Amino acid sequence: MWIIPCLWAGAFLTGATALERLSADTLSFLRFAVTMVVGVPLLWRPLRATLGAMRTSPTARRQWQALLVLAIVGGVLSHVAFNYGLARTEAPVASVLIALNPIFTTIAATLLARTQRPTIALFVGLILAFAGVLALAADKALADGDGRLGFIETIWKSWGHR
Amino acid sequence: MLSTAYALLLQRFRASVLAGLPSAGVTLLTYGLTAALLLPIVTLSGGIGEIPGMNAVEWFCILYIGVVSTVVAYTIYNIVVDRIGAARTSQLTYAVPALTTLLSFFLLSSFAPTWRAAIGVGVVTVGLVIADGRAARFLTNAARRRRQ
Repeated sequence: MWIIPCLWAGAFLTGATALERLSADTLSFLRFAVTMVVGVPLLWRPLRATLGAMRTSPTARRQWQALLVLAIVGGVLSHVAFNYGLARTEAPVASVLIALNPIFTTIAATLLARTQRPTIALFVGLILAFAGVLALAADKALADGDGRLGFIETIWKSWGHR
Repeated sequence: MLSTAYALLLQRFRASVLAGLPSAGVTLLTYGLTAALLLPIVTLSGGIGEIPGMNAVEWFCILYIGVVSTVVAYTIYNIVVDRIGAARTSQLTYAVPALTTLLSFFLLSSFAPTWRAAIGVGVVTVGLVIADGRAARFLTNAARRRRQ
């Protein structure tokens, strides 16, 4: 089961390597195009079942609209932004920031969707995780040769907005 | 933030308009739409011109991201979820930053980790485990079982 995080960790390294010459949007496009070419024959059965169910559904139009929204937010915007950031920072820093996703999702689910209850553990973990991100950001800023940066500038720089 | 928005939207749509549809089919259709939306962007930005000049290493990277880390990893992920459950499987994600740091150290000549980076990765990982809460519950239950 430990092969899964190893495979995911490898994606940050290969992504960083590919971005040395490719642009963020090209890498994002090729990633999804390759996944489709390999995924369609492999997952043909569930894909056909999904398309069949949508064809006969009275809400097919709304289903396609929902898929389009998911593709724009989770596919186009999210992956282009991620690859743009990965091209401007170290792979481990990018992996840490991505690892914060579950916390952001839990907070949003707690505050916006109100589908989860806030816990003390959540807030303690969040403060620790942000402290770790600050340490990584400070490391990146100092490595870039500017040790006088303020905290906000440090975080800003580490996220790739140079 | 975008990933969070995606997760919340997906949760909302899966409970309403996309309810009952196979998740593999929904994921694949989302990927297909993403590729279709990105094609004109890549064409207009000139990114499509980068593809003919790609070398073997860059193609390997694309194939790795598109096939190994997506199709293969998620297929194994689903098998592991069936065997040990979603809650325990999701905890594997905590290991990704530390493993990325280790792999970067061994495989990327440009990456030289410092003690500050090591502390940062460690603190974030501990924070994620605490925030999740399942590790604490697991330890509490294990201690309770030992006492009984």
